[in-house]
Amino acid sequence: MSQNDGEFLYSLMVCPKCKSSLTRNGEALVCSKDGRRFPVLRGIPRFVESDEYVDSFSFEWNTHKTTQLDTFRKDGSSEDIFSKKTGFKPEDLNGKLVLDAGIGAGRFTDVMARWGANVVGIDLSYAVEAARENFQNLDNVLVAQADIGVLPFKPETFDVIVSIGVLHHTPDTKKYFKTLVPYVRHGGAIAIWVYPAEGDFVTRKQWIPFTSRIPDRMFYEWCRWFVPYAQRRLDSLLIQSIYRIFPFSNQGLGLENDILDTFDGYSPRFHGIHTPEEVEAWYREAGLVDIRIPGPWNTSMRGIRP
Amino acid sequence: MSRSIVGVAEKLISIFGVSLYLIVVGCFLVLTGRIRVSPRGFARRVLALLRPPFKGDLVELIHEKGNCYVAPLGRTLISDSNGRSRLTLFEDGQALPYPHSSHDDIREVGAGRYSHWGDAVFFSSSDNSDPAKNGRRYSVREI
Repeated sequence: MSQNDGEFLYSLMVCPKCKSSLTRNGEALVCSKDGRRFPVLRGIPRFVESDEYVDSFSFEWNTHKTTQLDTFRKDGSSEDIFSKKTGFKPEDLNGKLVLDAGIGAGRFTDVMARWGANVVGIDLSYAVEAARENFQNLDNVLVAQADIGVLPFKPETFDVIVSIGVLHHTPDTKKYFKTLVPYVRHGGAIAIWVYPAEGDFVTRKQWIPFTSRIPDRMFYEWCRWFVPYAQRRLDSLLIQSIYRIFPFSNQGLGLENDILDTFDGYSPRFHGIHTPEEVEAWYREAGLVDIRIPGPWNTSMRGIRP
Repeated sequence: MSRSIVGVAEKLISIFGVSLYLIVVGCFLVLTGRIRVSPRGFARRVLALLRPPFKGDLVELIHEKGNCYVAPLGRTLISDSNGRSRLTLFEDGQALPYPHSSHDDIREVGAGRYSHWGDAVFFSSSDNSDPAKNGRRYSVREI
């Protein structure tokens, strides 16, 4: 069986609890040891019962299914960000088995799949519906709904693990990072990017306990009104002053992206911020080597499992 | 008809309700020092609106990296490092196309990208030629 085969990717999954093999039984995967059933709904294996604390991501990625995907944007903006945050080039990932931990709508899976990687994308949120829709015609992408803390794979399964902009939205960034490491094979690489403890990220962290309580639809409606309003008035003193207190997105990737990104910045329950020294210490504690910051973002880091 | 009225009402409630909530939370965060705002910075922004707009030529052009060159302004203005710069950069009187660019983009892509950062302008010429040698005049004006 070739690696470019959806069935191969399916065969990688095991029971997240006991790591026993799974057999397909109708619309479910069944644990061969204890008979536990994991439903396969709309083509997506489900290893969790709900989206727990990440409901805002379920909402945003199903509202903006294609906003950040290069394939739909017809540009290379996400590829550029991916290259700078991971340091990977197409030849590094071509033919490799990659775990995208926190796939969202599939912004970076879109890049890696184009580069020839076999990608398994998991997410705790119902963003998996959007991702599945975006990649349903690709044999080299498999999407599953699962928790990074309880992954449905055997240790040392993946050549590469990437998790860009995800781990800081878990209850404990360091703990969840360390959970991922055993799933990389020896000689494989793990690349992450987490929010830095500087600039707008620090300001946003102060807002999170308040803004994450606003119902998603209400806050999203507000972002849809406020972001275009503010962007038309960037030269006004009032908007500049508001920006200092409430930094909103203005990334130059279009209005839809900025609405999405503003919502994304304030709606999640958890918003960890970290220093480069902290991130490097996690890599060292996990026994990773050849640790480096591949690009201009100082909390993006890559290391090799020896 | 009634459904669309309900939809508009819901939207207005979201906008006004969330705005009000955010204003209250914002005041709380500022007054309790959780978000720091500099009264000096605010005063500078007010003053910037009252004084005549700054204009001048860039004369000392130093190569930074890649397509990026740096020119000191010789004047402290509100720049992209502490707010939003109002400076426009002209090449032979023609406004260059991409203000507020990231410095990486200026270095790597160039093509007229620029950034007013601190007391200097980081910029690239429109065709990525050396602005110190291409014979063109580079000037700035607050707009």
